[in-house]
Amino acid sequence: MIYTEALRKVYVIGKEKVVALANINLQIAQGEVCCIVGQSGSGKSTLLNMLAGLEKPTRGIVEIAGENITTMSENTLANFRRQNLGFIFQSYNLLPQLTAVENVALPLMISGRPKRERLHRAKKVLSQMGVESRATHKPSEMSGGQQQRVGIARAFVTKPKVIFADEPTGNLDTHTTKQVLMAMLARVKKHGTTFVMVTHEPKLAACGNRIITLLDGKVIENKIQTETEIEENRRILFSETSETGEF
Amino acid sequence: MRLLDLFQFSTDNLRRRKGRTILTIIGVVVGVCAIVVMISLGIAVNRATDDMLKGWGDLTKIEVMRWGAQSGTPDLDDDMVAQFREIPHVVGATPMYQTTEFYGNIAAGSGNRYLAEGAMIVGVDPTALEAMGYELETGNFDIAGSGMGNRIPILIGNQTPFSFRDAKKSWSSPNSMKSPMYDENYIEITNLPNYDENGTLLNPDDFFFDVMHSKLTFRMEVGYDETRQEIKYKDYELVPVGMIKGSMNDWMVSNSFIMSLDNMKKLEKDHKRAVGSSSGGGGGMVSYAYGGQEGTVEGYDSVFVKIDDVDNMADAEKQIKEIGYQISSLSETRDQLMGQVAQTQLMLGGLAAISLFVAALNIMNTMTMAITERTREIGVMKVLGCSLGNIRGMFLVESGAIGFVGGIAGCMISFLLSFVLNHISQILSFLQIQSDFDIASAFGLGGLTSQVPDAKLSIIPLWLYLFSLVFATIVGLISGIAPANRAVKISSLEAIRHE
Repeated sequence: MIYTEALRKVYVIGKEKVVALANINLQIAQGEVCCIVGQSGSGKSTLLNMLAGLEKPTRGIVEIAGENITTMSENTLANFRRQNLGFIFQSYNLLPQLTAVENVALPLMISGRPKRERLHRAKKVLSQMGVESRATHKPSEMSGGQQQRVGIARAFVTKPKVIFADEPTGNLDTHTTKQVLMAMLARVKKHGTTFVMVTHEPKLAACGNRIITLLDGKVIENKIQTETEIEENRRILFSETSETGEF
Repeated sequence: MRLLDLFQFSTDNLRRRKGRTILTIIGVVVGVCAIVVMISLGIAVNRATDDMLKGWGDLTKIEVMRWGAQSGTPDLDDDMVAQFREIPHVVGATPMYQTTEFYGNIAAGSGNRYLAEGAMIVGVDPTALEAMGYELETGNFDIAGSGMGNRIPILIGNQTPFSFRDAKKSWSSPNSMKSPMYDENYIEITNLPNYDENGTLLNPDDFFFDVMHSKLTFRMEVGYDETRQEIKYKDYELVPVGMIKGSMNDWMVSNSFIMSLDNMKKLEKDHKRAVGSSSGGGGGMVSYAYGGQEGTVEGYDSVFVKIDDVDNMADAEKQIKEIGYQISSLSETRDQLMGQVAQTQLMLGGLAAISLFVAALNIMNTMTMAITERTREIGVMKVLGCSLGNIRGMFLVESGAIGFVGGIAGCMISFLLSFVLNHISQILSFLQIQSDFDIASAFGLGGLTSQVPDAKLSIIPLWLYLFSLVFATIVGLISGIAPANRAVKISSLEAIRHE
């Protein structure tokens, strides 16, 4: 689903060149949950942005679903993102003037879906995320966990092939983090979505099929976990909250 | 993104920042009002000037003069009149020919009691009269025929009957003439009070007799009988077929006995034959001095040319001037006056344009601020796959909406301002404020309001509302271009990092 070849990113800061990513070669299969971990400054966010086409690499190729996104024009890329990709942000990035349901419907509005259809679909995804009671609330009237659920609903509403999440639980407390992660993983599994998540929390990363560890812009570990390993890791992580029965 | 969604999304954003949006809109309103009111003042002054000039005479008439023509210019004769008729937009052309060949009196009443001495007889092309815009009080224009024997069909002007004098009364008697100048009712009034503003005669009974239905005799002087010690006359019967509506602006026609050019020339010939003069031929021979050379040349002193519309005057005037003639027309005067008005208008318009320019800067500022504030929002939209066109569209719709709403409000306020200006004297007197405020004088046409008493100060035609609405919207859109481009250039990555 995602394929990179000799991906390299160099930032020029003043007269100095900083190599953010050096020669990244990855292959992420469809339906995989891929977690990118590393210390801050290791280049994990840069890699995610590169994979998602938000940033152009200095060199190398990124292919998603067989299409080379590094050579696309900005408008083609926008079009591609709209049809194939979903995003979940650390700081939720909901539009403050829109209600929860309108925020979720926003990608559908951008795609030009009629109002009735998009609100209907948005409500459905909101209720799947367990926040249908907040549908008509503005982001400022919601807790962080609720906002992120709305953010996740927004990412899923277009049924994208790939969802990118940059520290999606970074602003949440431990309890909420687990709930939100659970919710994301459940939906990813249900839809067979390829999920790429950046986190600095190894415990969270341990829930993925693939754990890519970066250091100084290089992949130092590309670990594939077996289903049993994943199950075990997830069980450990969620043992405290599993009794809530919410998921 | 659907267009409707785009509009709704943008206008919702405007509504979210009510205070700032309203302030920006007020800026546009001021600019639009300034422009609309300034233009409306100009339109009103132009219209009042036109009305004033219409009072002076026919704006679509050109008088072509022989005098001062360039050397080598062809004669101003019948061929030339025919040539004038061929000029585009010319609807009629005729000389108003007054002969110097003969002289005579017109007599009426028993024993020729009433006399029009040295009567003004004018020869015209009968086919041109109606086209020239003359209207009849009674009868018809048909003076083309030669009449039977010495009977000549004529038209009279509706003031012509004033030409008659009661020969039984002494010259010095105030009752010897029925003229506005002499009538005690009108003695204080100078400007033809016998007629209403349409030129219609108010009191036909004021004449000595009914000229239209009386026997008129033209007594042409054909010499002096030495033996009988009296002037010899040759008599013709004049048959009035119609009376032309008078006009304050056409003194000649209003006061003349009008016959066809052919009959006029026939009279000239008759006169020559009777007098036995050998000098010259018939038909509009005039003595004149030209280029240091004296002589007699065929042609008329002047020819009147009527144009279909004021707007085509300039073209026709140019063509006639190109032949080589000097011309005189009210539209020339009008152009000079209008030029003066246009200058003032340009200056005021410039001031108005400045205020709209400031409003445009205001919109730009507002939009730039909005974009800075919403950088993150724009970034999110972009990450979600919003096309650059849609991003640009969103901000253009916002700035355009500011212009549009400002335009609508500006038009409404202009309507009120215009109303106030047009009723300023009533309003001032209602408020019991003494004022001799005269806005026309600001246009350098101070006397206008006295000449055209019910002139409006401000006229806003429908097109001006539409124009200003479209213009304000366009100004809004243009002001939004730079900020919108800025929004397009925002890096989505930077934007979502933006805290």
